[in-house]
Amino acid sequence: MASNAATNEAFWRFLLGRLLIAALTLLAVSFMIYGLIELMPGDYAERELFRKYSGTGVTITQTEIDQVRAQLGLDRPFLVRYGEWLWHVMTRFDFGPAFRVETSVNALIGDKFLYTFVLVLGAMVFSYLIAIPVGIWVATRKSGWADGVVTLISYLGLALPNFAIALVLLMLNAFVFNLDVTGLVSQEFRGQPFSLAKFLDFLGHAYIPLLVLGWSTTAFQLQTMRGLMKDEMGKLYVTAAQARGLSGWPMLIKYPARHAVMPIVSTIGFDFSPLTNCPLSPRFWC
Amino acid sequence: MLGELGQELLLAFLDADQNTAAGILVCVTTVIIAANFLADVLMAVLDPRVRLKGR
Amino acid sequence: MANPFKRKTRKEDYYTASQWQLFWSRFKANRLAALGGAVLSLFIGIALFAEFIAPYSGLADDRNPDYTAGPPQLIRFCDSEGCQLWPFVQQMTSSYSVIEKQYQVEALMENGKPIRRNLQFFHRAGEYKLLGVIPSDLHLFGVERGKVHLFGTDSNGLDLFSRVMFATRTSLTIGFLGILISFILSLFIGGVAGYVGGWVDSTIQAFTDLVRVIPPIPLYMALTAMFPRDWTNQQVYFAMTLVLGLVNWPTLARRIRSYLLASREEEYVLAARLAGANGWRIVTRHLLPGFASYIIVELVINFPYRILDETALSIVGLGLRRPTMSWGVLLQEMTTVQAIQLTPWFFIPLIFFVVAVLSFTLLGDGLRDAADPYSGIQR
Repeated sequence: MASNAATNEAFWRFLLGRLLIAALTLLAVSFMIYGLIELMPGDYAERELFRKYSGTGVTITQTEIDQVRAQLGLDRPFLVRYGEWLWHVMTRFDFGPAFRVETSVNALIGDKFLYTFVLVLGAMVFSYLIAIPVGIWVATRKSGWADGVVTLISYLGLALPNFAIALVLLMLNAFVFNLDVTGLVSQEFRGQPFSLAKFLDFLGHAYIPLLVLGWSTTAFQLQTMRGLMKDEMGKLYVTAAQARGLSGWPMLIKYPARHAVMPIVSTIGFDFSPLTNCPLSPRFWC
Repeated sequence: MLGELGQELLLAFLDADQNTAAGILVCVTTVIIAANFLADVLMAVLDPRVRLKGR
Repeated sequence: MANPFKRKTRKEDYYTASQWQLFWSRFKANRLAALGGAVLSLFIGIALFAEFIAPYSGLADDRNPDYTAGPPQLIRFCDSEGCQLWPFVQQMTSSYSVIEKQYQVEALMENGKPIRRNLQFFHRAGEYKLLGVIPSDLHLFGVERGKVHLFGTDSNGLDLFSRVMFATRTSLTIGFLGILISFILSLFIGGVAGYVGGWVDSTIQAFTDLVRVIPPIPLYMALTAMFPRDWTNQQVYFAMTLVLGLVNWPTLARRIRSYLLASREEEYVLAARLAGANGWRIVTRHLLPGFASYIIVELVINFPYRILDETALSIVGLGLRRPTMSWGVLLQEMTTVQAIQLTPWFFIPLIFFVVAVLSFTLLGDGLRDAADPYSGIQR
């Protein structure tokens, strides 16, 4: 079938184009970060020596700095280092050595990335599961109080960003619940390799970070969903569907909700930014 | 602890550790790009009008 | 007697009102937005007259060594010895007890009675320059001897009330300057993209797309980590405003560009052109007013996010540092478990932060609705 083949070809072309753009973006991002750090005053060698000798009264000599620099390969020009790093990333998926902890970057971030990713994904699913149905429900109600509550929540979602909600939760915990909240996994699992038991333990601790992470997104999406759904409900095609005898959730899901949910779907990417926003309260769960 | 991914990033910046900082950000950006792609696919499924026109 | 023509005149008023009059009448109808505006003017008042409102400088020269990490002092009319009409505070001491591992707070006694310190309004104390110009030593309130700490003190014995007042100024101005810088950048870049079009437009679009993919926080981190450690606080302050501006222009630039592209094709512009208006008139009378309100709204809506960014960055130690006072710097002291349990009044800056962000959001939403000609008011 000719039309099918054409669709297929268009699909592959589209996919290829997107992959190309993605590769270019990643290239640009890595170059930008590498370059920004290159522009910083002082390099890693200086910082390491400074940390090592700070407070001891030892004066750091230029030869020492040069020595460390040569050891770590930091004496080579910027483009050579970046090129080598890039080459290793592309050919072996190896992000090179992480200087500070004397291990490889892969070993350093592997586990952490997985946990953070699971958590952020969990928080996202969680907030969509709440925001979308509740938003639809509120939009279809006649009375105003639910509107008011949703608006209030959405304002609080902005006014209480994750670090603030984390502070409030810490406060609540300190005075009301008094739980052990210092880590994401129980004491006995810390530093242990990944295992099913550790993962289950992690899930048991995860509800608080889920709340911290998902709170703002939920509040924001709830308001968005309500607004969009309200707009859609006023449109003629909904009245037409109702005239044909459709009603309740089946009608909502079949027609207006599909359209209302689209702007939310199209911004899924942005909801992953907590992957790195979290550090902003390093001592807390997020 | 969870904040550690972000905290590693923060420490990497403070330490001028290019490999770690760029590594973490490449991973994160990959996720975001993948999510954006997924979003486009979902949009195409939800709305027949958005088929294969890119954005 | 009801005026039979009143309804008609009102209607006529509506049709002959200028854009700004319509804007104002729609805005006034929104009570929440008006409330947000009122609270904000209070905050702006604090920012402008911080030295007058704060009884102390909030810096090391005004520390109270006898009252470190002291809880907020209540304004009292009564104590164990009876009541009086004039408000007073009790003279207190607070010091860290190594054995008990907590702060010991007690009221100072004189002849077996707790000491009363009467509050004085328009009290003369430390000198300052009001608005940076008028020399003065007048403070809203104070006490003759001893010190008054309405919000308590921090672990160095610095008056938290004063610090919060000065922090309000820093956080608001840094947000404002950050917005201003990103506005100028985005007006320029978005304007060029929107007017010139063609390959310039596509290049700028590709670049903004790239910047937008990276989450803003790592960008902040990268940029603020570049500040040399030996910078003075002023340098860090201005660098922070620059960073806030640099990271945030893409979204606004894109909006300005699409607004310019879209509004050139709008029907009302075509209508004006057909009615014989020349290009200058179209730009000044039709495009600019709509554009200006749009931009103002956009800036106000962005404002709370900048405050939020500054606070978040300062909490982790990437933004402003002591002895500069900002909400983030004050909240940084809050981030230990010990602080949360022993000194909960360190939370007070968080309340200011939340209220400020909330009222900015209310105001911004109100302005946006008022600027939208299709919302609100019935015809």
